[in-house]
Amino acid sequence: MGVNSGGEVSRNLKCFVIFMVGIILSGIITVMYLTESINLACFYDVGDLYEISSSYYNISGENWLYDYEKDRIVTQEENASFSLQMENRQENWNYFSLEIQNLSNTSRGEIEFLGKNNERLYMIDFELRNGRLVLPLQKETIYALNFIVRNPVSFSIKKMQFREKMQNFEWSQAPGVFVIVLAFYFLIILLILYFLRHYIGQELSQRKIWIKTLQKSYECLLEQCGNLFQGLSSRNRSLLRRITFFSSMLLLYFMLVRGWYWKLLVQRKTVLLLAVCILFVAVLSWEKTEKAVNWNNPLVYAWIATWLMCILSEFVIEKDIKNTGIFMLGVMGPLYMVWGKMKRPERLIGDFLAALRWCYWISCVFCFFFRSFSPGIRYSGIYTNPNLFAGFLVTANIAFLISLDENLSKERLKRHILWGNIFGLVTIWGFLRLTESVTSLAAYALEWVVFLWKQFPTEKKTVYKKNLRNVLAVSAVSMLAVITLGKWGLSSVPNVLGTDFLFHGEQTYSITGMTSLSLKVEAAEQIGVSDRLLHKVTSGEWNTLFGGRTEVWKEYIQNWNLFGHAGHQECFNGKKMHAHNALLQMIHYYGIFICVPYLIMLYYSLKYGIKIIFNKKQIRMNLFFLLSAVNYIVLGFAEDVATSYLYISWLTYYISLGGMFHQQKQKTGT
Amino acid sequence: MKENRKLHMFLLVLAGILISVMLVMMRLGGSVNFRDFMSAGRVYDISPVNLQNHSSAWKYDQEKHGYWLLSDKASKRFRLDGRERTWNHLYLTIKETSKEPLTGMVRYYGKDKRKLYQQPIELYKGKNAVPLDETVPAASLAIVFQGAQGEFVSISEMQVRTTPSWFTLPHFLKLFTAAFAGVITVLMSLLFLKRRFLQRREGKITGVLLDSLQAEIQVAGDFLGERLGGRLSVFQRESIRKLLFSILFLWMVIGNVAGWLRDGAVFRYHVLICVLLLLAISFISWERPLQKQSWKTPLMRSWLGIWMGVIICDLFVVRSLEFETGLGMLLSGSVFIFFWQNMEQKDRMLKDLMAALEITFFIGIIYCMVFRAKKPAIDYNGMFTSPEELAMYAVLMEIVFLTRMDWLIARSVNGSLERGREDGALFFSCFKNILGGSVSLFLVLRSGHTPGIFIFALIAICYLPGVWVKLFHHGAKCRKLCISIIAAAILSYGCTCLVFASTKYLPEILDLNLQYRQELLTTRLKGEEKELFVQQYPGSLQGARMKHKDKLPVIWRNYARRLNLFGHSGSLSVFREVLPAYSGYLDMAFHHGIFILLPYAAYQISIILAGAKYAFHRKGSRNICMYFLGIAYLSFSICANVEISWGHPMWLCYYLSAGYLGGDGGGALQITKIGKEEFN
Repeated sequence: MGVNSGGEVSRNLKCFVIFMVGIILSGIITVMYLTESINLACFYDVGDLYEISSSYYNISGENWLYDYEKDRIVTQEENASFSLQMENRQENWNYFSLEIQNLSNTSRGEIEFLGKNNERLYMIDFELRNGRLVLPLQKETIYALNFIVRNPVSFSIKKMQFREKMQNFEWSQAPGVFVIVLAFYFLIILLILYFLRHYIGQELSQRKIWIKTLQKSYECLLEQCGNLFQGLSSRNRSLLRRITFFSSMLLLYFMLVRGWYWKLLVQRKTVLLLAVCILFVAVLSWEKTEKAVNWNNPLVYAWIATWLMCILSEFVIEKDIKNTGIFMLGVMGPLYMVWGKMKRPERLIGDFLAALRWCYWISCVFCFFFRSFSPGIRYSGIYTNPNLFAGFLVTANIAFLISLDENLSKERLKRHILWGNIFGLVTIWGFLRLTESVTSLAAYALEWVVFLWKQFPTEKKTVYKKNLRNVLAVSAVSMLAVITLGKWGLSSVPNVLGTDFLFHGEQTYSITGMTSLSLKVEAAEQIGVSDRLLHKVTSGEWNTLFGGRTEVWKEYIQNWNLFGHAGHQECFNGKKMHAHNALLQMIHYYGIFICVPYLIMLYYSLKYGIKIIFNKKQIRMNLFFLLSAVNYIVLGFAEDVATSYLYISWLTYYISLGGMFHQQKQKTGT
Repeated sequence: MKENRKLHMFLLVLAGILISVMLVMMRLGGSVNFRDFMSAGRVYDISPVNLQNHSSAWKYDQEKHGYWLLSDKASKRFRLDGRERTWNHLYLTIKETSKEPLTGMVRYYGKDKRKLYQQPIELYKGKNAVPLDETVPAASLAIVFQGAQGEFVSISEMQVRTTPSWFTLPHFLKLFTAAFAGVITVLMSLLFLKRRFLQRREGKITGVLLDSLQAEIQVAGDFLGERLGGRLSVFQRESIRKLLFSILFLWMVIGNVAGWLRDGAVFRYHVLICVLLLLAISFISWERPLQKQSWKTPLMRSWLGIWMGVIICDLFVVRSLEFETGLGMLLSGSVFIFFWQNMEQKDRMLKDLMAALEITFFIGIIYCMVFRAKKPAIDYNGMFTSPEELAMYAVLMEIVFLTRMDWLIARSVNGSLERGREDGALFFSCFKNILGGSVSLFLVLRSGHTPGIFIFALIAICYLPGVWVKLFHHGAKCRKLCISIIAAAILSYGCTCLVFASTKYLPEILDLNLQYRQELLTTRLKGEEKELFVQQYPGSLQGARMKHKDKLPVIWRNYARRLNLFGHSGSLSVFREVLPAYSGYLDMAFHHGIFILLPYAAYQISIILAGAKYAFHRKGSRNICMYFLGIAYLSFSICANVEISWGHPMWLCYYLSAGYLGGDGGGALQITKIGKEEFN
């Protein structure tokens, strides 16, 4: 994939898009064929389905043991049983599906279905055997079940489901159908291409004109409004920008912590305020230069396509979080235009990072006085969830890393900058340890890798080495302070002052060691948690490795459709939960086809992020683009960073995109 | 400039009135409440129809507008809002009584009609406030007069509510006068301070906003316009425009009839199609690179003010339909208006719009003749769902045909009719316009909508005498035209009779009569007259309702009582059914907050003032269309549901007329340029 000499979309990219669309279309048709249902609102239309998490039955009880090594349930006595409460999924289910493997010897089994007060509604008797057992249910609302095995046996349960419809297909049919459909798709594409070439001739590319018109419209807007702030000095502009960015971050923070995104009117007002803030920054930074801005590159196309699809999806399906597409195209667009036109775009980055540092320091003070650290509990900091706080920390880390990168080569490195930076980096590390968030730790590690990688190729001067020594010394002192005083202060100060508090609806997450995963810790509490998790990580159990996320992902994937959904998907006993993955979240919100431009956007943001670092015409703080992209993508692998208006990492990524929009045309030699 | 100043003064006074009304309402409500100025709590007004119904012991006297009490213990029950709940106050206004005080009881009844409680009352002439037992929930209340056999009592109003009512007209006026004086003083002072210190800055910001909007339209418009309209010849452009306008009007009427305007899930798709059609018409009309227009005129400012106001309210109130209406109009309307203002000959667009209206009108008439029968004693709805909408449509078409005739007469008087031009074409033109006018008259009369008939007559009275005088003075020049008019009138009479007969019998004969699901059937018959009719034609009045004429003041009062700063969603439930406001002003104020009336009223006045310029232009190039449209819309706004967003051609024509009247060109005064095409 890439761009050709003129910066235009290459053939590879077109092929990739065609291929991806083919894969998606074939997937959709295959699933529809298997389920025998044409349903654009849910491709995998197998009726309502409640899959009981393995953590509910892979447990040990009195006479029901779970062998972790062999991944088997062992019943040692006759009539061994386990009970399951169906927390929020009491419905009139039609079928109960049970998939068993590795059954040691035959036995009879019984399932008692219980009512609201645990009274027995009815019972189904069956013979345990390997494979799928489908038991038709009576029309009663089931609140719990009791699984009894008559004889001592060992077996593993692969699936336990309540279903509305019976599954009347096997997944083994899928590959064949998929390949046939894909072949047909390619045949049709080839035919279309042939006819296009044969009858229409050269492809009529209108893309350049479209992009230029879009740029022109942004320019017009900025030119009209830019005059309002002509009299301001660059210092004042910078200050105003910082304040505005800071306010934007505060808005995002409150939107998430105060739950404003659930309240429609508050959400609308906040989004409007955010839009005003971003537009204000754009107008403030507008410089009327002769510089030609070239937006003719795949990143821009992907960005436009993503948000146009988003607008379409928002029009068809009323979303819980609204106006994202319009916000991106109408508000972020002008800011991106400003990036290209600025003589010194690093000023914009500098102000954004300064605002990010302000946010971080304020949050530090807040944590120190109001949010105590309790041993054994994962630290949530300024958020209600440790993962969210960790995500924020990793994003703030970018600001300090870039500042360090900028200052290492300076002749006169100011002390307060040095101390501020190092102390920031060290405290971030300290906080991050307390949050125990693996995803954020991975992002953090990758950020450092990128930072260190950037340090190596440059020619090192004496001053650099001197600064590096200073940095190391200060780091050591800061580390010591953080480990001793910091941790003690964080545990004691809020309690001593009596200012410690919990956010409304905040949940506590227990620490489970360095390798702990966040989502389903409570499931692991029922046995020796650390041992079990450690074992699962080494044994390669995907579900446990990702902390139960695979179940969420499965639920999300099952509900893929054409135009997306209004809000989060119900997972785990009817509880609404975000996708814990940015791509899945985007697909869930805006439909399956958004993944094509979205993936292209992510890829090119990484690619251009790297390219900018090696660009001959280097701008200062160029590490920002790659770090933001890495941060967004890594966090997005196991957390939700795709939901708009909620996360500072989301804002950072989309702000940084603007800097990559303008790609200089490469001169081609003849 | 002078006119602008007058308009600004008017707006200042109107703002003063609105702020004063707001303050007085909050004072009467007893709290500062921007969500509900009156803080009125629950209120239920007994329908005036219920206050005229007989009961076994209360006999209503139609002439004296009151009841004769027939027994010693005369009781009459009044149903409340349909739910069993508690009320705190009963207000009874007795207009006349033969005995004072009237003693009796108030009885509380539950939903199953069982008596729950009773309390003694004494009633006097005038407004009586009876405190109710707030612990007893009631579904209906009964007034029982004791020892009052043969007595007379006339009850003009009856209301139950949860909060006390402090509203009386003298009290309101007293408070209003004081508030208005204060508010006007403050506003004048602020205006003075603004002029002294802030004038330049404010002007700059507004200018930037307007220019930005225009600049965006310019960029996108030039890009798309060049590719769509730029490639077409004038003839092609006009044909496509007519076609698209016709589709748009038909689509709007279909949406209205199908009930899409009230269905949140479908409405946005309906609006999307309308928006796309309007945008397509705009881009088709591109003739040359777009130029900036002066949008700092009161007309354009108020136009933008209305739609921005509608959208802004959405930040404060959760609504389902209003945002789409506002956004659709702001997006497509502003583009359309900008394009129209940029046209070299604005009349071409107007002419195409009118042609599309004529085409759809005649299609509609044929549809009515075949599918929509007139039922006896029930007002005719035509192709619409209510007589009111039909009346509005008839008035709009009257304006269109009068404008056409006016142009024809003007050209005849000026002698610009081509000599030797086929008489047939002239006759056909006269016939089409006169037939259209007469069928419009027929429809408005059939609708039985009194305000509609009045407005129709008003426009005719305003226009026709002047024409007769003109024809009389220029008789020699217009001989051919006069003969054509007379012949066309005779033929039109016959055709109108045909329409009359068809709408009466044809759908029944062909068995094609259609009735819409959400149709409003109204009848003028009431009381004994109605009973007799039903006896004679059983089932013929099924689903038909009495006209809301008597109920209008109560409906208006209900809507006025709920006025607030940022509006409401949906409509109010009055007399146990959801009823619209029956007033454009109240409807706008109720849905978008009281201050939307500022741009709304300003727009209405601006349209009439700007329209008057063209209507009374002396050089023979006049255009009466916008002037009469402005008058008609304003008149309907007083007592009809005129705000049928994206559902009525009149609504669209009215809001788009800013394209003709606003902008730099200041409207098109080139009627004569249309020339030869007018016959066709």
